[in-house]
Amino acid sequence: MTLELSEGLLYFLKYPLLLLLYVFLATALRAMAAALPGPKELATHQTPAGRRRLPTPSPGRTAETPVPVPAPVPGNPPEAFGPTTRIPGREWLEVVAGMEGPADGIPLQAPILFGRLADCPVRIPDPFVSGHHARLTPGPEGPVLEDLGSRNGTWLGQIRLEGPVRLQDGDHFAVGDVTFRYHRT
Amino acid sequence: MAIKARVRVVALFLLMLFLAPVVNLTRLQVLRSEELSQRPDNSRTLEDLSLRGSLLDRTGQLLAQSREGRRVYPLGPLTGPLLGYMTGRLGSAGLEASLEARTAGYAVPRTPKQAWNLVARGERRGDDVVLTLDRDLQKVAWDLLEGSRGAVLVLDIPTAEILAVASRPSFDPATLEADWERLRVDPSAPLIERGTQGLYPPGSTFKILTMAGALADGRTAADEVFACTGSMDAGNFILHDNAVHGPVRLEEALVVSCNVTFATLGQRLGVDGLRRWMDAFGLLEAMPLVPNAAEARPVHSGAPSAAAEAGIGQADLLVSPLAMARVTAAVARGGIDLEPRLVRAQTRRGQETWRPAAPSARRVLPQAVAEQVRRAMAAVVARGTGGAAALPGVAVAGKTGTAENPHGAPHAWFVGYAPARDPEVAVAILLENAGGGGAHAAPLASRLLQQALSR
Amino acid sequence: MSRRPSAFLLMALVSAILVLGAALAQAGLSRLDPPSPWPSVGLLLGAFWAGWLLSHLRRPAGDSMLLPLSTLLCSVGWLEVYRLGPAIGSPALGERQAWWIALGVLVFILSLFVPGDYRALEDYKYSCLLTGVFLQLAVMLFGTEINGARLWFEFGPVLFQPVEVVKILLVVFLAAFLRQFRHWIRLSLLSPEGRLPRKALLLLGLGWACAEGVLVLQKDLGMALLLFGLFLSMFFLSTGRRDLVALSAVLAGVGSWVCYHLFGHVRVRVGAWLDPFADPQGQGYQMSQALYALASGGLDGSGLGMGRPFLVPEAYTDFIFVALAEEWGMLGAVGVLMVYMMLVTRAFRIALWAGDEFGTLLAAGLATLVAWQTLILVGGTVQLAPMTGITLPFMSYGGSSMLANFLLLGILWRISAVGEVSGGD
Repeated sequence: MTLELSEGLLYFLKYPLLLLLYVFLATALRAMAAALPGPKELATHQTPAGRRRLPTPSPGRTAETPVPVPAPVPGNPPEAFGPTTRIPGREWLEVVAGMEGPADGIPLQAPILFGRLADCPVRIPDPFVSGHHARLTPGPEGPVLEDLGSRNGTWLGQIRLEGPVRLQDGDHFAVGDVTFRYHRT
Repeated sequence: MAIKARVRVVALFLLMLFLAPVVNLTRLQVLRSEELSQRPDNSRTLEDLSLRGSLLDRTGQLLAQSREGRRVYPLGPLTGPLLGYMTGRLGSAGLEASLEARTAGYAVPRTPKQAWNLVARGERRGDDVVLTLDRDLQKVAWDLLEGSRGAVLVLDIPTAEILAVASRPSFDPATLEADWERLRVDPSAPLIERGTQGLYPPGSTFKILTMAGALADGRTAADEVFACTGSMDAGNFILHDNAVHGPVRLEEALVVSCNVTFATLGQRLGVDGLRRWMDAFGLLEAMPLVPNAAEARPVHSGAPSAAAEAGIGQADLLVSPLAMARVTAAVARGGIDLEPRLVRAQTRRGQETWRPAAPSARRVLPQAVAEQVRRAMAAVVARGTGGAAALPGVAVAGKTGTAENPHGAPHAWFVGYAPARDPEVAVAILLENAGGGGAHAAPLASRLLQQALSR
Repeated sequence: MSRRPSAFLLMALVSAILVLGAALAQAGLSRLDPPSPWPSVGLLLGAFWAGWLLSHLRRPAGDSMLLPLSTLLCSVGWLEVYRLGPAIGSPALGERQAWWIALGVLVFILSLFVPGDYRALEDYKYSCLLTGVFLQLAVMLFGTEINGARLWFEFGPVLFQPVEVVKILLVVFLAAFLRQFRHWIRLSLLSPEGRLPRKALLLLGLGWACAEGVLVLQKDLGMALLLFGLFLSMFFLSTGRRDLVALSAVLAGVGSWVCYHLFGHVRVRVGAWLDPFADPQGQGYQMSQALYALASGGLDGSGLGMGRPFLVPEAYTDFIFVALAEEWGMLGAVGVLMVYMMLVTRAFRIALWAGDEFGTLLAAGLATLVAWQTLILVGGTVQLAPMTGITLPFMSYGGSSMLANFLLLGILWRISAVGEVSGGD
């Protein structure tokens, strides 16, 4: 075969190469489409079977400091709750960002559990929020916030909670992408 | 909005951005591919220089040739801006650029057709292109311009083939790359081919067209007598003539180049009439077989004097020497116009592979009108301003011109043909800022016509 | 695990493309008497398959698409580099690039064997930042100057471009830093007392200053754009503050405008971009040659080894994409862009599946890095943006960039594989 012949043929041999490239593309697309997670799968995938979960909360982080569960503050009838009513000693949480909260805020009477699971009073459907993520327990000198060994932490400002912390009026804290503000009037 | 939702937003945003290069690749590689490939500074087309075909003159002598990967031009500056150049660094210009596709060879095939040719015939070298130039006459034309700036053009009347077109100043293609920076900024424009691309006010040579147009339109008659008082009211200023010619007949007016007469005819034809006649002579259209020729510019000025001035080839009228040669040749043929050409054929190993269609003859002027103009032009050389163009033993016809221009002394013009009775060749001579056409351009015509006829 | 057979098929297709391409390139170059491609092809195939095997043996849960996609890019890029070598007078270019790719795969494999968890990186965020800043400053002060830019360290015959590693270090730092401070940034910005979000603004300003500093001090327009795109993307990812992102985009616009008017070299670049034909023999030379290369490639390309990509200066590094577009045509170039899109998509998918914020931010940051880098470089070569001197991931010739890209791939694999590693590490 002469050089001329082979160069004339070479010109046409670029097509099989392009074809191979596109076969690769089609195969890769098929492989990716098959493995694409649906939106539902994404929302709940955080601990799919086989994925490692963090071990049970380490004691240092979530020491269950005994906090006495206070009785409802006397003289605060529930129907009087609301952000506009200024009743001394009233405590509530404002949802500042991250999700829609009740317009009146979240009344703080009994301990509140934050998490992804349905049994939490404040349910946050975010894959970065653990099932039972954090707990806020009202107390006479202010409520106590504690992390329940969540993977991504509960944050008071830039500080990741290591142990229980007592909140003061105006404090912000975040669970996942949801930010709360504690009010006491 | 949680982090993961934002991840989706950012991912989507970035993936959308990828559409931009896809769109632009389509634009550049498919839609604009042709346009970009043909740009003159695109040296890709010139890469396979050693396989490129040659340019030959009408007798088969070499004008441009590929040797050792370079383009070589045996006539050097004689054909400088006409043939142009072709180098890897500077790209291509001139006829070399225009004929690029015909002479292209390929080391590797670029199109399916070339690939197939290679498979079937093993052919790589590009074709040769035969030009209409005569190498010897080109030398004569070049020598005539010694010491001047300007152009000399010789047209074969029966075929409208350009036999020679010389332009000075020129450049030497052999040292082009070294001289490039100087040539590029040289105010005397050595890169411009003046014979076909240079545009100049035609001055009195344009009176041929004015006369022919006015006669053909019935705006005057051969026996009309014009009263020349040495000046006339051209509209918004007084147009002065070179002399007081007194009462002159039309033919005599051309012989003495009477401005008053032809300004009057210009006024009768009007700007539009003159434009129509330039169009009739084919001056306003591109000529496919003279690839880089510049089209003439008719009068655009709206001044009241424009028609009168245009009648004597002034105002803002601009034409190339080739255009004036074409008008002259059409008159010489008895009113028949042929489109000038510079390209004769494409050949491969001596066998013709392409030839342009034979020129189609077009009647521009009635035979009688053409004869009147021819008589007058013969008289111009026999006893008028063009006396210096005369040849012993052969009658010459022509017209001189002295074109006022904003760049200094007037341009000297001469257009003409010979023999006057049975025309063979037409010439156009232009000398930039040289002065009077009768004194400076006409003498060159004499020598040029002699050589052209004895060819 | 139905994905694995198709990843195997993809690896086989990559091998086929590499072998067919090498044969065509060698034949197309026959008049230049090129060195045989087969030792390099053997090396590449060995490295690819070893990487595939070891990665699946060591951490089988990792994203099996990463390797086929990146090795395809490597193969296509290598074919162009191999093909350009003899044409630009350094026939060993292909062989050297093959060794760099093989070393890159080795880095990838090694990164899979590093004990521990990628989350450990989080604890080294300030070390990453300091190392990055140190490398960058060192190269600016003591680096070797090439073509008027001080971007390299010279170790004997090897040139090391620290910026390639700095980019990854920066992503690690940003992911860790923003994960720690993102709530704080959000909170302080939301503060009802009307306090200025000073520290957040400071952070933004710092990122902005870095980008502009690179632009001014190193005259590196591409790097400045890349840093800025990366920073803004990660800031938005972690805090979601559109207003601040918009603010810094405006600031960047102002900065660019000022740079355009203050610095001649920026004006020259922009001028060469907007109208390369204004000075086709001077400033616009590279860009106009690139446009001619693209035009001559057309829809289906000239064929490997049969085009003239060597007419474009720097075709084997900055303009490798143009070389590709010329010889593989628009079809090939768009195909390769789609592979980049898949790789980026895949990296973002890893970010979506990551079980913790750091993993998400890190993977998304790396995905953003690859995406911006590809977009900026490709945009610069197809006249969408001013031409810049950054490398095309996995394709450009160069050791530093190849090793860094495979390191990046290793990190992505580790993030994607974290769930299924038994407790040994």
